Amino acid sequence: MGIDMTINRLPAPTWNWLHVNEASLKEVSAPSKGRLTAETPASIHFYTESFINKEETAQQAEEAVAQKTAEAAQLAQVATGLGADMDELAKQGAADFDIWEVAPGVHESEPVRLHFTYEPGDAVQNRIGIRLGAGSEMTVIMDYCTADLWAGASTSADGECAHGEPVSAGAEENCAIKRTEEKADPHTDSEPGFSVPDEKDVNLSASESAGQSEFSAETPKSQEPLQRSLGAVQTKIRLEKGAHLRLVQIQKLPDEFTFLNDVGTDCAEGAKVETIQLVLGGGSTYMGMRTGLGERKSELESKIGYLLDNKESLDMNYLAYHTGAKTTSRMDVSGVLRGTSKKLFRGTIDFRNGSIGAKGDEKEDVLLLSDGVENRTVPLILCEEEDVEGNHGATIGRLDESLLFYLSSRGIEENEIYEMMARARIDALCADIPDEKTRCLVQRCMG
Amino acid sequence: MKEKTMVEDINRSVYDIKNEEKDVYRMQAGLTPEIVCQISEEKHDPEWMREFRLKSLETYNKIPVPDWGPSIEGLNMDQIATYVRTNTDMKGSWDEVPEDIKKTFDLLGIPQAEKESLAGVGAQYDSELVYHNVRADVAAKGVVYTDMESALNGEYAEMVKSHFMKLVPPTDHKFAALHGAVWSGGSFVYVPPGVKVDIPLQSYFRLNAAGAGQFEHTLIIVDEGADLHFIEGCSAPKYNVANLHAGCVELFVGKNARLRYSTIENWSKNMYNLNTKRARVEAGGRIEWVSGSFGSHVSYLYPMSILNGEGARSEFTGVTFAGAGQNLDTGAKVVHLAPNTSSYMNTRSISKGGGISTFRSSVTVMPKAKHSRSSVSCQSLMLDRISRSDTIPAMDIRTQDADIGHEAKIGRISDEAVFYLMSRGIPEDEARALIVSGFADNVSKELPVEYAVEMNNLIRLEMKGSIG
Repeated sequence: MGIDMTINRLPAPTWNWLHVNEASLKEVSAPSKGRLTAETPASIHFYTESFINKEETAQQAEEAVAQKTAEAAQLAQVATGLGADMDELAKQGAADFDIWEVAPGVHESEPVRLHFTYEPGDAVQNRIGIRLGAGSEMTVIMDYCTADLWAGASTSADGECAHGEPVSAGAEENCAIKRTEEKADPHTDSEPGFSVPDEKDVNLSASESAGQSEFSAETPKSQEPLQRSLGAVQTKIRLEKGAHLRLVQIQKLPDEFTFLNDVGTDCAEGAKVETIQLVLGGGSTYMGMRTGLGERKSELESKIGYLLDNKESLDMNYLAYHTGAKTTSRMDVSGVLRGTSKKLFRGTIDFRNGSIGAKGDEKEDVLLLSDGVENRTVPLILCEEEDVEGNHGATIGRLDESLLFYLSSRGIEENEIYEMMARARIDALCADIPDEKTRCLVQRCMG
Repeated sequence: MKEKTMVEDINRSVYDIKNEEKDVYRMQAGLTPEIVCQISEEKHDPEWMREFRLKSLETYNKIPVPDWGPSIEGLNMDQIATYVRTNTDMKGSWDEVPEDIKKTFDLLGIPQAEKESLAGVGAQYDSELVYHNVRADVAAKGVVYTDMESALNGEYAEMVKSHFMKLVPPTDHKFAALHGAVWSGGSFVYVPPGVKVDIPLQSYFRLNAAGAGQFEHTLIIVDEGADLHFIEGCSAPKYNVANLHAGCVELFVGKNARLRYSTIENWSKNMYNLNTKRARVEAGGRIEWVSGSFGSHVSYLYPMSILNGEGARSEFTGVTFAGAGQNLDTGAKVVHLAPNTSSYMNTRSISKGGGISTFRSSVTVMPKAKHSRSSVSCQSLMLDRISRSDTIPAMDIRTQDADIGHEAKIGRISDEAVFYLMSRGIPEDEARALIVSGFADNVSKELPVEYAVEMNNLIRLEMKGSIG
């Protein structure tokens, strides 16, 4: 027996008959820890939550242990988009936090790359912590795919994307922490008084089959087909004053997967988080992101793109929670639906008391390419502060007639125009990814 | 403080007139099968209606209260009298209406409006209509405008039976079921094919009794190619106990017909306004909702348009003004069922003095509704830091051949605009009232001029009330 989960709750519920107030998953089996391969630049510290609690740490400086424990606890408190049931799932499973941390003032130009690989039959979860010290800057790129996909993405000498042979990265071990520079020995790269454990100490157990796990959508009348594989990644982020994080997430999974991608961020004064998330495949995907803009002038810039086909479904819940003065948020969502795919986007800008001078913008652009699709959009603006500006705009359906006319007049067939414009939506987001290798992965995912 | 006193003395008093409850029949408070049967008996219902009421009561008892909107914890049905009737028949002349009631409607301007700009008037006082009249030339075209009870028991009984609560079934939600059980009063309108009624009909609903409910039913059928503008007004004096309004409006708009349904709602601020309005529009038909929500303590109001025939259209234009002690949850719903249908929503919300306004909407485009278009625009204005304004729209699109647009904005009055007006010699409070009136002009410009003036007065009243 697994646990029943209620996730992606709309912050202000609406009519129940719309079936958008939340999503439900039934009898989710306790997941084991998922396979993760990490490429970590030398200046970035890595440690695991479980390591802090191990007996060995007694030999470390008590102060450092106490500090790490407090930081991990602070991360654990960060609220996320999917909601508290994801924490509950973590308690049921074997996953503890793997934490990447950049020290105050450090600007790391090389990204941290986290490759999560999945296989049919998985029931796995990872919990990721990211901490940025005051004034620091870093990029984290996370991809969720089968092993062959990301390994094949590389660039040739002239900068063109090359499709390499698939390799079984991460297959032997569930987690590999690699340093991107020679000096990046995990034993010597840790903070004074606190050492990073051996890879063998990182407790990432082999994934087991999900067996008879069942997942159903909220709507009782239209229950989703059972998904036999589960992947879940929860990412909790804390940005100190003036820190700047770029987070990129790419997902391309087989149809039999139910995938939970849960993000939560707390921003201190002047901190900025920029995210790019691309969903390029996956049976049933649930994504949530909650960004706490609690302190003055903190910022969120979130870009989301998706290409859904066949029976794929995507259920999203995004919340920009403004409590700090002059905070800003921007959410741009752009996607394409084909076949009988379904998408639900919940996007909320919540201006709470104290968010004087805050600004929030949401924009969604959805291209529908088949008659069997279901597109649901619920963009909320909640406001209890006077001096704020909130905007939302959405365009859903076919292409603009004048654009269609213009391109047709250039001799392009209508079908071709739609294909071109569908791809252009993802290409536009892809171009913003600050990493060539990841851009190649995206191109490879799109075929 | 001076401004506040002036408001109390001049404006609010019109709506706050309380007539002493004398010579009235008042049903005991509460909701039981016995009370429902008693109402049915009082109203000389046909047997099917008596059964309908009892079945609706059963449904009411099974459905939970909504878990998604404003709190209605302060509403205790055990303390609500569902039927209060003055001991007078419905009259066809104002002179025959009891003096105190006539005076109330005089002050509300109804008889005057009837003379100047209406084709017919129905005036309901508590649970029953006290006055109903339609101009002879309009009646001569075959237009039927009468009270629901007369329609139910008279010539149009079959038409009523085949339409009554078919658009809003009692199973729709808890307060639709309540309405089905205890409804009383309201109007029945039938406009024959091709008939265009040039000037509006109006029903005015006045709830005078404290601790009572009003449950009027409005049924309008506009046949093929016909045209009608129907205006609904409502008000009540303020009491210290909860009052309830759970009316129901069902509108049937035939092929190529047009119906404009305008409402200026100004219930007192102890009122729970849980009203349901719905229209079904056939091919080429058009429903236009114009809605101003100013009163009530709590309001749930979302007129729904079902675009059932090819080329059917709906327009919703609304303004909601939530002041101190008010939680007004308003908006609209539209369902596109047929090809080439189109819908347009344009709303404004204003929150002030701790009031809460919520714009809630849904646009549903079903697979058969190819080449449909929908556009939603909602703007909200926050006038202070103690109020709240939420926007909760939803779109559910199930065909590729649709063109759906949505935009929402929330903000405050621009300091530059206030400064500009003040530099022209306009005091600050007036400048703000002017800006708010301008903000709500999407509705006022859609109303007949007399009603637009009333609406702007309500806005000024609310704005001035905030000073001191």
